[in-house]
Amino acid sequence: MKNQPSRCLRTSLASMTLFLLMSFQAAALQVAEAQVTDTQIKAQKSPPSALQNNLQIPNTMEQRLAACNQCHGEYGYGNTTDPNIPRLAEKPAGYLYKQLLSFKNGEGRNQAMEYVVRQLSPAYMQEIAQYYAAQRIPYQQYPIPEFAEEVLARGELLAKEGDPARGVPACAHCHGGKLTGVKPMIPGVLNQPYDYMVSQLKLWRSNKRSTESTQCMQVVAKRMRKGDAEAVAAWLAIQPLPENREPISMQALPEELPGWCVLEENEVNL
Amino acid sequence: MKQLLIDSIKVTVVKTTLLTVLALLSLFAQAADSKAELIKKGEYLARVGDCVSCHTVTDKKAFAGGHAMRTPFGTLYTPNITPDNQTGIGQWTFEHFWQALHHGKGYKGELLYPAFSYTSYTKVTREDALAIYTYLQSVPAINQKNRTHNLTFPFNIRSLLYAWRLLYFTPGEYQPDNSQTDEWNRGAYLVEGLGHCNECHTTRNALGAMDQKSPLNGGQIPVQGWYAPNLSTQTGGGLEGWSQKDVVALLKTGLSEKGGAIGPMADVVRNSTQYMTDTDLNAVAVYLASLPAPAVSSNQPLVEARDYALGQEIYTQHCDSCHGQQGQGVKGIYPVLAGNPTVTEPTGINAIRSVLLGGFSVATKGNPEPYSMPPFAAQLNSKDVAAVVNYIRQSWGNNATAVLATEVAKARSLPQG
Ligand code: HEC
Ligand code: HEC
Repeated sequence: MKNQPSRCLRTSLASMTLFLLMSFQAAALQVAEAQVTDTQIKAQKSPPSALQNNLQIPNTMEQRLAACNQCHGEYGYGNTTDPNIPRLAEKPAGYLYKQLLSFKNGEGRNQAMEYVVRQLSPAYMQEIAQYYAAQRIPYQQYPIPEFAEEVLARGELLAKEGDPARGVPACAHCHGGKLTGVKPMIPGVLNQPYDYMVSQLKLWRSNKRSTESTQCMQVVAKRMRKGDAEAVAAWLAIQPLPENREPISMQALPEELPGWCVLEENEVNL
Repeated sequence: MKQLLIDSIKVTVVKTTLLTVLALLSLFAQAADSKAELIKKGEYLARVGDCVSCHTVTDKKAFAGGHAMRTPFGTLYTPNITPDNQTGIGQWTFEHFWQALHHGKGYKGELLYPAFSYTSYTKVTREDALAIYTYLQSVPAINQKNRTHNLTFPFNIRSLLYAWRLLYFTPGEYQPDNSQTDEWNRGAYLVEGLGHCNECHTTRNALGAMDQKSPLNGGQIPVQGWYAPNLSTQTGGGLEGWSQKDVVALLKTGLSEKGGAIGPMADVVRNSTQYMTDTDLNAVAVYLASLPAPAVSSNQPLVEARDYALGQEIYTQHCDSCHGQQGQGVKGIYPVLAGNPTVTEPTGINAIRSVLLGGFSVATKGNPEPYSMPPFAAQLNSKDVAAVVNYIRQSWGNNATAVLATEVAKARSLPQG
């Protein structure tokens, strides 16, 4: 026991020496590389200058949210190349705010999102949620993989009728008759990227999304059978949007939500 | 007559009883008052000490612990410090608390791992410790069991800490330096004690101990992958050219005219320093201004960037619309890059990660709706990131060593937490 610390010190000395050697090597390499162009570089370098060209920065949310829009597209339009990044525009503010809160609380759904909301205040996140909820911009349709007719038919059935035998209500039961969402807590599900939709349903099935908040989708996703996530996501992704695609109000929902689905509106306060 | 006497005695008795009751009541009220004051003071000091950053995972469960602290020796989970009787510190007397804060020992006298910054907290006065203790005993109790640490051998052997402490830990309250002003002493107390700035801003050796001879000389934050710069504002220091106003602005709003807080420092501003009084922030700035700059310049010998021209191209394409052609930034919106210690710190890791991750300035009372920088991790390959980092590290008077594309590639897999 007694000689443990000194042994420890010795190993650490050894590893430090190694580290030093390695750093010298790296530095030497860099120097060798550097020599080739040193003189050229010197010529190109702009000298420190007192010149201060004044930049005009627009005082808009669009400008403030440059980080978000790099991934989610301008005005939250959606990412044109990465189908794993969702569209934000038009999703109800309460829903968006709740997602931001759960990212901030580090529920482990997505590291990049957790990093980017880390320094925001609740008040600012509410403002951001309201900003994206208010954007009215066109949708893009994302491609889906090739599926047999029956698969898309199964998707349509789930969306409109559900699977009562398995206790799965229709998506329309909660997401609104036209599937365009219900204010303030339920997002529309039409024309969302297929890959993103499938990944979310799978996250719920494996308890990796919204562990502390509403259980609604967890129950729905777990009751679905294998292949259903793909089928319903594919059908939803390629439907034409209705003329009026505004999210409806809770009162306009024809049926009450099932008892096991409790929304946490009060907590979100929007 | 007799009746009268009895009556008057009765009256006096009633009067005195009333008076005593009143006096007692006002005593209680005073006690309650001073307890409320103490709690308030403790709340402020707990903010300065930033207890919440490490002892909280979600806002709903403040101080309930469970936060994972990744160290080179394994992962430690912070304990519950709410007044819950079973899982928190509800059973702790002030002496237990003092033992932890001042001596680095737990409820049963077990040695605590120095990931709990008792190497700094030991400087906290007993009076301040009592206020913090009283405050913590007043927050909502949360029942949440502590998680066991997950340390690698041999660091999981607690008794090794005897040796470590012998080498690197001396308990002792802060001793004012009488040759300095009260303000300077307050600053030193906050920086080296309660604020524990030195825990990140000081070089650590392979056993995780701070270099005691050169405090605040700049340090790598292991595992998380950030660099905490040297804090001297004198020529050659990491904060060279920062005025008292700049230091206060950074700590208060997250953004100063000389640079902004990112990474773990942004957390500190968000959770702690933005709540500090101007008096305390100015004291901190006065103390930092007195720190000697490192003997050797904090910039390593310059390795010139070979990819400067490519870097300039990328900078013009992606960066100069916000940071400006001269790296001058936009006051109160986008940080300056010329002379910014985040850009020029010796390792280059802060600049690399800023480019990869982008992100927001801290939302504070002074900057409630901050602007942001897009992440470039997906858009630029490692060679391009290295080039643009080298460009900003070697332009406008910046004179820092070049970084390599391999360092950028490595930084991509660092945890973002
Ligand atoms: C590095 C890319 C990136 C950045 C930057 C980013 N996001 Fe995201 N965001 C994602 C990804 C990926 C997801 C999907 C996570 C998942 O699969 O669960 C997501 C999900 C979300 C969601 C959940 C949407 C839903 O329908 O459930 C919201 C809300 C959101 N982001 C808002 C923001 C805001 C606001 C910002 C800026 C503060 C931002 N994001 C910045 C990549 C990013
Ligand atoms: C019992 C009510 C209910 C039913 C039925 C339901 N949903 Fe949901 N859904 C919700 C709620 C509530 C949310 C918001 C979840 C949250 O706050 O995290 C949601 C969110 C979602 C999301 C997340 C959208 C996004 O932008 O991240 C998807 C995807 C989704 N539902 C798909 C479906 C599909 C597909 C069906 C039909 C198979 C369905 N839902 C049926 C209540 C329901």
